[in-house]
Amino acid sequence: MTAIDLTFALIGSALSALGLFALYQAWKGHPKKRILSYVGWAMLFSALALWAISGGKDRGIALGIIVVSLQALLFVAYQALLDKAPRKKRKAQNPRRISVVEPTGFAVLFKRAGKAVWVSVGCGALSYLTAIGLHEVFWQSGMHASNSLVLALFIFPILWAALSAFSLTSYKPGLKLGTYAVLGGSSAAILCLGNGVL
Amino acid sequence: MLEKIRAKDSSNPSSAKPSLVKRALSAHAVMGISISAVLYIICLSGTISVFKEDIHKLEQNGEPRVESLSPQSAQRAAETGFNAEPTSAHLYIQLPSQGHSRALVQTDNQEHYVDREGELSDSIAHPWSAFLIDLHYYLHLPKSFGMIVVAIFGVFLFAMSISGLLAHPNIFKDAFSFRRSKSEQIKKVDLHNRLSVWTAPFHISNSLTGAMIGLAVLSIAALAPMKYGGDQHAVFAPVFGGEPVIDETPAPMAKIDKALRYMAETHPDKPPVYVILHDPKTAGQYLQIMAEHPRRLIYAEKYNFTGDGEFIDTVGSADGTIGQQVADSVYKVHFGQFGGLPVKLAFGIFGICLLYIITSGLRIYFLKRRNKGRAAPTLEGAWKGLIWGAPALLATSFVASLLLPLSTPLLTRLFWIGVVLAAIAGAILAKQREGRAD
Repeated sequence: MTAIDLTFALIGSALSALGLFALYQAWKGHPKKRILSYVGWAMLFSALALWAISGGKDRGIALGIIVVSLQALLFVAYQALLDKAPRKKRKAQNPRRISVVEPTGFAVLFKRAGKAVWVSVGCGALSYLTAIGLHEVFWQSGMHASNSLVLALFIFPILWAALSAFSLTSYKPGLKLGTYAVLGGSSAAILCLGNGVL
Repeated sequence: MLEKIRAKDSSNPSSAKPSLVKRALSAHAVMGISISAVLYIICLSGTISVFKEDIHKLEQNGEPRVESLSPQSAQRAAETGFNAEPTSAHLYIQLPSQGHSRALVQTDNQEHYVDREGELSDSIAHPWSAFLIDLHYYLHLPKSFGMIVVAIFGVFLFAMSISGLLAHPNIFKDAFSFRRSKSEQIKKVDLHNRLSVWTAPFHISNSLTGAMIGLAVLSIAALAPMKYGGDQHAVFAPVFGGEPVIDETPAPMAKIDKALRYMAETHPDKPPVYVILHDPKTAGQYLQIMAEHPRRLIYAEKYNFTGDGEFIDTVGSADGTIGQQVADSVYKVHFGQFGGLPVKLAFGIFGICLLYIITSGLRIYFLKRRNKGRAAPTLEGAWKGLIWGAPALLATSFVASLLLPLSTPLLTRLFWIGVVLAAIAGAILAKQREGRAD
């Protein structure tokens, strides 16, 4: 690391610390909190730009993000120090004795097992099919083979995670089934068309 | 009155928010409960793996320290390394680099340290590191299957990040909130959320890179027959370069020294870290020198040479397509190998934060159950047994491996038996404690 790189890194670190301080003040309810939060975010992004100059376009930004994360944890720790724990140990809350009996019938267990299988295997298979289908789209559109491959490799886990979260979060069966059908159907059709099956 | 309240609720645009938050929280909890135990072990082993090179030095400290290996010594290392296993189809020389003052030569089945003259020294013996890496990469399952299993946990860690963010609509409003003076549950929730949000770049990038690496094998299995005539190696050729054409006619050893001299003269700012020789001592041998680009996240650019040490071209990891650059950056991003010891320490801290996020998540779940009158002391005890037992077992096995000749398979068995026993012991102790309290 040259002296210039080090200077940029130090200025970047100072700027991100100031940016976080501005955000912290805004969070604490400073009268000018709106301006402070804009200034805070602007400083954080400027700090990342300085880190990019200091440590390289991708590596520098990664280093900058690490520094911001560590500094933010220090602010959280500082806030924790301000909010002192009571000297007297809190008496543990007596648990409510109204024991809620969980439904554990065969139908409930079957439903839960089905959901687990769907989230782990079903969503995985659907995201796999969709990722390969999207690869076909990228491939046919003339995208470089390396870009299509790496995009597809990343889309697979991202989509799997998103579909799992969606499956567990959404209570609308129609929306869920529609999404699965559109993703699965269109991907299968694209793959068949692209590979001369149809 | 009730009608009025209902009307008021429906007119409030934020009235739908709690239900989404609640559902996201429920999804977050379901996933957390299902995967936490194994995820904890993967993250624990991953956190320690960041320091694997430093651990190697503790495991084996009699090997020669080599600050730099001259081109002639590298040539000699290649000759002696290959002579030790003349049937090997590959030869690798790991060159010393900043923070790693060791040189190694590897063939298909052997690994040796080399001294500064390029002479073979001790065989590499890192049974505990091998055990640790196998745990993190494969959970000690058969490799190709284990890698997929671990990757699936990466997917669900990422899914938990998504559901966690959905369940946290006041992410900016609560950015620094940590109410230590409040109840145990609020304290845990605050710290769980603060650590999750501020270390999100770390756990999101790590879960995604880990999942991508592990699941790649599945994508390749589909793409190879569709686009590359079934050749799985060819799928990666546009990213990492193709395999050379095999010509097994005997030939002298490739001129590694000449290629290294070329690198020193032409790219003095890009230190070579690896020499890879495909099909050594054949007419089709193909030499690659991997050189670090110190200001990049890429692992290394691959400089291709003929067997005569003539430069051909580069693969394009540094300046090729975005896909090539991203793919080559995955390793360093996942293991925090892009800024020396400070970044490794930061990754260590983030890893510990992630372990805390996992354990506090389950702790919150048990506290909520307890407060609802549905305590699960046995399960809670087993969980405690696991979270204290696993690191204790890793530490104990590490010390034991320094003192006794323990093999990797034996360490593996001891670890898993120990983890199961720790969980059972935790459950029994918790049950006894609960019995006494009643």
